[in-house]
Amino acid sequence: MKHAIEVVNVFKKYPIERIKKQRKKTFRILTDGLPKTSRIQALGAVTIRIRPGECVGIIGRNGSGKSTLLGTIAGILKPDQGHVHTLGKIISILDTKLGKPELTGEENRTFLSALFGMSRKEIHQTKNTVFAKSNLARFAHTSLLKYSRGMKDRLVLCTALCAKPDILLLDEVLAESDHTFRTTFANALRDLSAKGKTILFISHELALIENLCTRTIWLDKGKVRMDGRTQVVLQKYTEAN
Amino acid sequence: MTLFSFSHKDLNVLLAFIKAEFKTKYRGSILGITWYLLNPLLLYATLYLIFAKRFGTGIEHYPVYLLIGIIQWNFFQTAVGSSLGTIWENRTLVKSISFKRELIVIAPLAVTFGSHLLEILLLAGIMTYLKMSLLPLAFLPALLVLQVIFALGFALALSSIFVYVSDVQQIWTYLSRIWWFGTPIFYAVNEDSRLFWINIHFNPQFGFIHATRALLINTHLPTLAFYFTLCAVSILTLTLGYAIFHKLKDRFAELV
Repeated sequence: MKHAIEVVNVFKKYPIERIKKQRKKTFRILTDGLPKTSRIQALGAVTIRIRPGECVGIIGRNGSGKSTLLGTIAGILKPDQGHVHTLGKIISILDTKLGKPELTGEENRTFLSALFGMSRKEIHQTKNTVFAKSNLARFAHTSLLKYSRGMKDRLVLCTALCAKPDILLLDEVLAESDHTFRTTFANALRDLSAKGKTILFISHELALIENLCTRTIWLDKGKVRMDGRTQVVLQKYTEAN
Repeated sequence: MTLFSFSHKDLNVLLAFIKAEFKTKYRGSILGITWYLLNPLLLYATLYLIFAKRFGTGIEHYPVYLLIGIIQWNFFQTAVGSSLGTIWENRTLVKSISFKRELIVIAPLAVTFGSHLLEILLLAGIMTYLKMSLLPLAFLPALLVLQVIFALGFALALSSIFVYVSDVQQIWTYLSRIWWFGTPIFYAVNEDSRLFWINIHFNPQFGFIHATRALLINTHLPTLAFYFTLCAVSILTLTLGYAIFHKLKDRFAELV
């Protein structure tokens, strides 16, 4: 079977201290020439293969490379070395603060749907579904400025689900959501997975990972520390932390 | 590097950005989209009142001369200015979703172009009031296309450099102000003068304004050589701007 996601020997480094020393930079250029920026390794020799229909949790401490991995798979970040192959339409929610605050819920839904690759016909057809799923029908014509964080998350996530992704990449998306929506969304993800769609899910909430994912990858300092059945990986991770 | 190959999906995204940009620009203000027309009108009225007697004497159809200068310059400065910080402003999208980054820069430019068309309507109204022929306006699109290409080149280059070095915004504000004063917008220059020679050879913005004035006021089409020079400058600016953007865009998500 062809893999839905194939990450092979990927390395990614980031420059650091760039912003902090910005003000001094001009003087350093004048006195010492161009500065040598140090770089931190976010991903080092990461190789992962994920089959269609798998729902995979990604865990690890802050700065372990989880978001960088998802950004690289989504095509947002370019790896320094190695390659990434994906199969089908990718939708990535790496930040739920995606909408335009001045626009209404419906205007934001239309805007995000286009960004998620939906045609104008599909955008029109899914209007009611998105607001029914997110339970935001009453607020469709309210400015996003009046939405709570949880409401914004619901709108973004339900819009993403209606865009029919083959691969769904989610980074800490349910942190602000209430219990009811978490249950609804978890069910929607299971349905998606059952239809052969692939899901990668970053979270610090281990219960959520255990509830949703059959396989979990533990990243540590930019490397895969463990990759296997969720219960086993979570147990080792809990022991180590 | 493919220069602007857009898929159907990209065009949908562009349209979504344009709609969002159009709706958010004056949302919350009482006069709303009327500001698209009010802004140049107020600037025009102010400059006309200040400069008509000082610089306008001896210039044929000074109201039209001045308005052409203002709206042509206004389009360029607003288009580049509104695109400059747009990648930073859309950073949550840039960091979260993969789409053609050029679209974020093109959208504000397209909205500015829409308001520029309204300004041209205003110009046509004043020309009608002054009993001038509107026929030359039919040739204006040939110049408008080049102006859009020229502005887009600047917008792509500056917006991408801004992600790396935010000082670009301050530098651009200062340089564009000098450029504005150096360009004969509200004053006229003698065709034998050194200032005219410098402007006609080194200032493409003056090239556009001069060609538009010659077309609409004197009903003279620009010579083919002059038009092709403007074509070459515009295409070269866009190619250079796109090359810079293309070179820098891979790291946008890391830096915003």
